[in-house]
Amino acid sequence: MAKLTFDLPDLGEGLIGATVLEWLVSIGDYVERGAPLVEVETTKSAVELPSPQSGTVVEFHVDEEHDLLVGEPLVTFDVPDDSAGIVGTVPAEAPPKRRVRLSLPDD
Amino acid sequence: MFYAVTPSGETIAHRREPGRDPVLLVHGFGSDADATWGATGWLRALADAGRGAIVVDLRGHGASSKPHDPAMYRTGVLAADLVAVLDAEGVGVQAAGVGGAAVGTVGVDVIGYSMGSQVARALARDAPGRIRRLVLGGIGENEQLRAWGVEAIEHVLIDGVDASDETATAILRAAAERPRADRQALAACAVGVASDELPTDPLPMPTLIVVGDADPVAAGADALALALGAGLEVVPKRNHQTTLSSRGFKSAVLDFLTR
Repeated sequence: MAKLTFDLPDLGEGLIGATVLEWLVSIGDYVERGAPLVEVETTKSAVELPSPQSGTVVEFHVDEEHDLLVGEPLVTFDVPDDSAGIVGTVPAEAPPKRRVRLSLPDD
Repeated sequence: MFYAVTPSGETIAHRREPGRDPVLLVHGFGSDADATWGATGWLRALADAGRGAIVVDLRGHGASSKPHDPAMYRTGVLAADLVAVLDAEGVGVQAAGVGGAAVGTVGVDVIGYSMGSQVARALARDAPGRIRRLVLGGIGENEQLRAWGVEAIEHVLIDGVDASDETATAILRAAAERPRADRQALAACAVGVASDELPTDPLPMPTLIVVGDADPVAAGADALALALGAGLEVVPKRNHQTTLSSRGFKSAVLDFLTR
């Protein structure tokens, strides 16, 4: 088994942090990727974050009713060795990378 | 999103989420379908229970038409928009029996939050047969927009001046700063909705009110529940914003919808 730690993802709208309202799983739970993980409150709204990973929850890095900043550790999972190393960050809805032209246009 | 067209030509954005027996979800003032029901985990919670959903952007919000005339936001108009969406989705229409005789209307389960609950009450008033079970979240004895006062609302939305009520200022500010917000349309919506007093008689369909115990908007929810003949679920330690995403709200509703 290997340990994988995920940080608080960028919640958009220029938000720099959030308050943990409620953990929706317990230490020792096996959680499927995409299942409800934690409910957090920002200055604009309250949102439920899905689990970024299938695995066993081994550590919460922040208690309920405490704050953390985007990029700070949120949760650690125990995952089988063969799936560790594939991902190490919370998947983000990233815009497609700009295409680069490899040759000069003809005109 | 798909667009239902109202008799007066406005377009109302709506979308169907897969699953059986879809629940109609009605967001609150200044929000939209995705912010209220997507980011908060409601669509996931319903899907996990096997239930589909119909989400809608109310007029003045999200991807729907945004007229600037308060008369276009009376509760009856907003309720008629929901009927147009249900018709467009082919949900709850009269089922034809043998020989084409109508055998009755099949109502849908409806969940509203905040102003969306007031719109859902207007739907219960105007088209009760379209609703099977009704959930009213985040409301109390006094309609929030009328309680805050139309002038104070316009001050926050149009002039950027804080209202004396902190909750009002926070909710209205957030509404005005949303990406697709049209402040004139939001002000017109507030005036239109606030101008109608909704009935406080017992409702014919099973109804559940859910509020946070730290939500000033929901003050007097127990009296409202008593008047409407509704059940009441109080979520501990939650305010107007955080009640919406709470597990307590979701589990109470999923339980109510399977009764």
